[in-house]
Amino acid sequence: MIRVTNVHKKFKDLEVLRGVDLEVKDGEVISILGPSGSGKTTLLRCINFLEKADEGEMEIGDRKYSLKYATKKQKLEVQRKTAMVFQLNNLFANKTVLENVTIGLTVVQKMNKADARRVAVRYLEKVGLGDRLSSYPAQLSGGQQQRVGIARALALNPSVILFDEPTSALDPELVGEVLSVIRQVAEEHITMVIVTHEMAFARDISDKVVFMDGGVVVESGTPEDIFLNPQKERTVQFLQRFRQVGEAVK
Amino acid sequence: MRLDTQFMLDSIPIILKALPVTAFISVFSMLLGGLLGLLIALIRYYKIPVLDRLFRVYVSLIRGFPLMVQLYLAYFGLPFYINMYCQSVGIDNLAKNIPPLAFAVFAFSVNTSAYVSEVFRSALDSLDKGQREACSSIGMTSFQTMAHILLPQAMVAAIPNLVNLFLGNIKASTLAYMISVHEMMGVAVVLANRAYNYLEIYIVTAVIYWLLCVLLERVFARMEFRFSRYKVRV
Repeated sequence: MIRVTNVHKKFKDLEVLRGVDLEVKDGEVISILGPSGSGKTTLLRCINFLEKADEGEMEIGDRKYSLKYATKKQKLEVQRKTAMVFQLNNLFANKTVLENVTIGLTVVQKMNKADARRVAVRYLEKVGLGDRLSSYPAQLSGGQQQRVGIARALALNPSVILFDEPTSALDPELVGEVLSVIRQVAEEHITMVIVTHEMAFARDISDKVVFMDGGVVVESGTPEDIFLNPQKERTVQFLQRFRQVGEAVK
Repeated sequence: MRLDTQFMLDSIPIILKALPVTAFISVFSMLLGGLLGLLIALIRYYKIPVLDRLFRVYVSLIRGFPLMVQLYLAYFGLPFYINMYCQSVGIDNLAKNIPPLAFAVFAFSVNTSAYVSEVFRSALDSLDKGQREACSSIGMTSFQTMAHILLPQAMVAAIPNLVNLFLGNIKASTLAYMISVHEMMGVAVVLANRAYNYLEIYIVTAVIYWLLCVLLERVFARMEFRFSRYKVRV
């Protein structure tokens, strides 16, 4: 279970998060939707301390943390319980596909090499890259790289996996393969928070959808609630824009 | 213009006998200076308070005035302070026993460290921040991040510049002859003065240094290739 409350974050004069609450139960898949600048990515990054929130509290399981005053040790603790899949994958360029996954296990979790290899291979096969173990990231397509990123996150067995617009930087043809891997992960009831613009996908795999705009949570609920029965004006406007795009693509 | 080619050929083995000294000065000052430079670069990369500012001044100072002057300051200045220290502690003056070579290596190391620190600092800054964030996101400490991911990639970016500095060190080692170290240039000058065959000697010396550098360039080119294999797309 992860819960953040009252998260505030300002970048110079720009208030990006204005008091956001979010709760993710174990095994829940939550999608965060919203226009650019709504603070969704910043929220995610505050959770794993890639950004330092100005205010806010966080609970992970039975441990409590202050987002503002967390010590280095506490931050490390949280970072070891969470994993992130980035928009630009951020794979380790000087490590092979296999090493990208094993390094977190051997260096951070202090697993021995043989076990780490076994775990890594299992997850890499799961994402469909069992045959590219000794390739380097530069030799892979964007979709393949992102799948390695997902395997890297999965292998660490974190309390929650944070996805920061995992398909936004991919060529359209490659988006599908990554989404189907994420869907697989969701079906195993691994706790996930996904920031995405893939509306249909979010609707399909999420247990809960959160709509953010202007630094606050406007509305949240089940996919049916949000997509079929939006309560707030802003939510309606946002969904309409996407419906128009959807029509245009057809 | 007649060159005494026999004299030129005869002088080659004599000059080459001092090659180990040139090599010693260049290599050791590069290693020691390199290590110190890396340390300084890391301190500045992580913006460690007080030390960051201190080393910024250090780098500016050391790069700011001629190596020859730094060499003389080391050779004439250090013994004075060592002597002072020895007198205050009541032991024999140790400075007497320190060979000029040590002062040369010291001065060149300090000089190199300033340049190397900038090479590594810029190499580290050129790396994309995303990988560093990925390391944090999986719970790596700063040390682990630097050791496994950042430094190896920074090395690849740094190698061409480090090679540059090393080749520069080889040439700079010739200054050591001014504090009576018998490296190649020193030997060559002695030969030239003895026989008044200046042109022949300097041509030979130039060729020796050039061949040495060419050889090293090829070695480092191979090293650079091997280190950057992970970047190859195909």
